[in-house]
Amino acid sequence: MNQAQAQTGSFTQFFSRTVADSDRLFWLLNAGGWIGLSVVTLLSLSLPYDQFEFAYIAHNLIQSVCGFLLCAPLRTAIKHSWSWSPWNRVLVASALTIVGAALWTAFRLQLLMVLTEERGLWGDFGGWFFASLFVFLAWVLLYHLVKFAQLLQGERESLLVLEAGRRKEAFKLVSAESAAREAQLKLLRYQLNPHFLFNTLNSIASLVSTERREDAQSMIAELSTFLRFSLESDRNITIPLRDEIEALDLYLRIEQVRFSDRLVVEQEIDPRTLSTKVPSLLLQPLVENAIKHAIGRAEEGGRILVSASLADQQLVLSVEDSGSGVDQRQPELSDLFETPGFGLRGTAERLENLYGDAFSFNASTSRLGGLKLALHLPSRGQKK
Amino acid sequence: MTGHLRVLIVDDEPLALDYLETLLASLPEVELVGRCRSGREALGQLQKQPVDLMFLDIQMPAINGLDVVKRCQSDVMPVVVFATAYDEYAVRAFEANAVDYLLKPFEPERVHEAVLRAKDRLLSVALQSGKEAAVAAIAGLEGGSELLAGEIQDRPTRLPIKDGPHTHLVELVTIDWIDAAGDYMCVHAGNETYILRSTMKELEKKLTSEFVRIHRSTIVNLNKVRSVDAIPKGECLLHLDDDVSLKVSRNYRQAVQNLMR
Repeated sequence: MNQAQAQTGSFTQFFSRTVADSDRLFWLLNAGGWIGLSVVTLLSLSLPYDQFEFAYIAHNLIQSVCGFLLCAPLRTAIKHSWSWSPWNRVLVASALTIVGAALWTAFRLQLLMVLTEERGLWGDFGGWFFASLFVFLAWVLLYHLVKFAQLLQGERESLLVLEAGRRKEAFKLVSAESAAREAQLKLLRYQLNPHFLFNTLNSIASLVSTERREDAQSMIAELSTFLRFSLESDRNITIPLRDEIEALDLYLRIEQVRFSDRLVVEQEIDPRTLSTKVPSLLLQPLVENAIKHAIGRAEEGGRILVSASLADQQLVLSVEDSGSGVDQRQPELSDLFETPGFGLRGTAERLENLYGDAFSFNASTSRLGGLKLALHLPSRGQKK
Repeated sequence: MTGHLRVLIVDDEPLALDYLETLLASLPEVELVGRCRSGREALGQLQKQPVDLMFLDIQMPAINGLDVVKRCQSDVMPVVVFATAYDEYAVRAFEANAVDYLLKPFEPERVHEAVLRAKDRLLSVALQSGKEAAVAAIAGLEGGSELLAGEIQDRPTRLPIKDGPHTHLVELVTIDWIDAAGDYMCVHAGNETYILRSTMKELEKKLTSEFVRIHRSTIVNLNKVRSVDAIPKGECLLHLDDDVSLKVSRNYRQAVQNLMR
């Protein structure tokens, strides 16, 4: 930083400090004004009339100091009347102008008579008072001008702060929206597991190559319906469990063709639960994971069980599998959350958005031998 | 090479096996010798009969395609063509190591191309084992390990295997068997297979006397052998825990003679 910059810097600092502190600003401007008046008096009276005697110079300076001090009570009075009605304020300002000018005129007349040999100047009071009136009028007007400017500036600043706040809010909203959309896309991508998609296409190609035309046709139809359901379903709305089970059946039928004899799917659905609203495609990722475990023991194949029941005003959905036969440890929910490709965390986030903390996850050992994941949801819709 | 390629196909989905079988049936070079629906089944088949080429699905439950490669004895490992529905990382690793792969759904021309490529490979004398390139690809995919040069003075019964910032100290008594695949050695201990960049010579120096060579590329821990079967051509089959079977070649048969006395 060079010196010029340093000076500008400190001047800017001084300026902003002064503007911010209204007492400081008042005394500075008040002093400036009265010094200005002294200078004007010097130039317009002393210079042309050659009055450079000590008495005149002293008179000039002392009358300014007097005016300077006189303005302090003036300011207090104006401030005091600031909240009054406009007319009253005009009245007060005018009265103050007149009183101030009168007092000042009397003082400086008396002062001149003390300082010089001139006597009997009181006769000139009218002329002197007339000039003083303009000085005080100017002072009062200037005072108001500065005060209004300050008010305006303050207003603008608070508006700016307000606007900045509004913009920040808007930005927050936009980023929240985009995060939600991103989560939705991620979810969609998970739901449309590329493995599932490409493997199913491979199965269809297989059916075609072995001339099982009708099987191929129905598999294409099922895949299409399932894809349409995945793409069209809005992740923020809930659908009746009946529709959710129907979509799940489509998915399961495809998986059953792929794994044929090795996959046995059972369902235990309490008919009373069918009209309960659940988030769409809630079960599919859980079932997909269960299938992975169920057919883990390749030679024997496995079973999965999907059930829905009511308990204590809550909808209980559970997905169980017969296990891979490899990992027989007691399931830990926290481990499951960390399992990549499972999507349990995403499911939990979705449920949190819909139900707050009015839902719960539960992992235990299934009577089928593998993992049992149970979901407890409020049976009467959203509770946010 | 004259005659047919002996081909094994492995996939957990019957429809995928049907499809591959149909596609291979139209190729005159191919003789299908088996279809397996799991990695475990495939490992068993490879010990039972000679196989030239294996189509291996990666995404299988329990023992996946990559595990099959790791666990298969180097000396009976055929040329491998991986099949995958969607696995960008694996595909990149395969490309880097010139291992062939098929993407699902299969394309008939691409399957034929894979067969022709496998045939070329089998003809080239340089190829030691089908495991070589595949293991290099897996090491690229999962990050290979290395053998630490120094010895652990007071504990010579442990093998220090450096895997990135992590060093495994593998007790020699837990090692079941070891096989070589090109620049890599596969150390099998329990359910774990360590793939490390090393030579057979380097590794043998660190092993104790119960480890013996049973094939050109295979070393076994004799303490782990549960039973021995004699099979034709003067070879025999060692059975270890966990369904592992290893072939003993005629040249190394002497090493296990003591077990049968």
